[in-house]
Amino acid sequence: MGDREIDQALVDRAQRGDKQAFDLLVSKYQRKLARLLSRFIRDPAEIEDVTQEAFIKAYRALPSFRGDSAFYTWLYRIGINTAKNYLVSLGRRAPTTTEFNSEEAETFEDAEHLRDVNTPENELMSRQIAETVNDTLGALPEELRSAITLREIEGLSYEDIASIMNCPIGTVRSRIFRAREAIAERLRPLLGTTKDKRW
Amino acid sequence: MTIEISELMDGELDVPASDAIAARVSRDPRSREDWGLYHLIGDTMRHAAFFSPGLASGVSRRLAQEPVVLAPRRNSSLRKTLRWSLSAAASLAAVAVVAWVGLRTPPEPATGQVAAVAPAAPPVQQPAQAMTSAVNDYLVAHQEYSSRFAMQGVAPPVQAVSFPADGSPR
Repeated sequence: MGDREIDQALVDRAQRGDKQAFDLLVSKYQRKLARLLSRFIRDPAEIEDVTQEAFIKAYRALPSFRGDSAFYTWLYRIGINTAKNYLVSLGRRAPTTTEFNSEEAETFEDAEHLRDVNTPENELMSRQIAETVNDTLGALPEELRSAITLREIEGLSYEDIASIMNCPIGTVRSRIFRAREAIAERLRPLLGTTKDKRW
Repeated sequence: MTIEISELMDGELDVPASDAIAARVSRDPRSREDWGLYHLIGDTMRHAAFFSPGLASGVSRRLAQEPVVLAPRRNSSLRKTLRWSLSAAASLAAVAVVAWVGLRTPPEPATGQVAAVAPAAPPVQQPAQAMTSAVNDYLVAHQEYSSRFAMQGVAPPVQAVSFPADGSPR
């Protein structure tokens, strides 16, 4: 079962009236979509507004989502159209179709750019999160660090990781989970669980 | 439960287990928090994050105001079966038409037989041009009465008969 199928399972639930299932998709894709839209909108507050608007539009359009494309591909198009309409409504130049459709817009890796568009508070928080993740990762036993890196950075399946690390799949499953939990344990006090903040 | 969330987000559960765990995660606030946190870790490791702590909670607040969407239940396996059945029926119908036309058409004599019979034909007395023209006119005028072709006009008989310039049959 791949990423697309997981999303489809959540979409199916949301289409049957489970709003929390859609919430899980928001949690999963909020940063990716906001990062994409930050290519076209510079102000952090506006990026947040347009990203929220795109998710709400996606929720309203959910009955028409038939699963012909991946959920994120569909969400991506809604996000792009929402950003385009937003810029046009402000009388600003909307990026061309080519700019919107470029592969680069989807996959660019530009931490500098993200620093530019984050608010100082969010930038400080993001730096603290990144430091916590990196420090905890660095302090993990080698086998846990390798397992989570192969999964999160390389995107390998448990089977492939088991083959590379020469261990059973069950061990890979356990190592990845333990690595995540170790990092999450350090992040929880930092992030807090206030009502208006959710990561 | 948390190890199952970890497996779910990695796509390592089968479909029934994924559905069951997704249902449990969506119902349990603590599990939803873990789901969000694990995704945050992944995004941070990939340097893929635009950080905004108020974004997801903002969407949640707005979602709460939205009417619940209900979509008709998709039955993908039924749709696939129906699509397959229609394709198969169309193919079968096409094969049946071709077979029916083929069976109604008597087999043409082999080229070798024609070649063997041709020398025994009586010598043609008429001038070549006049003969060709007369035979062609006759065949064209009477092609609709031909019993060889069940589908009139599909294969005109003139294509099966030809004469060389000297008027002798081939």
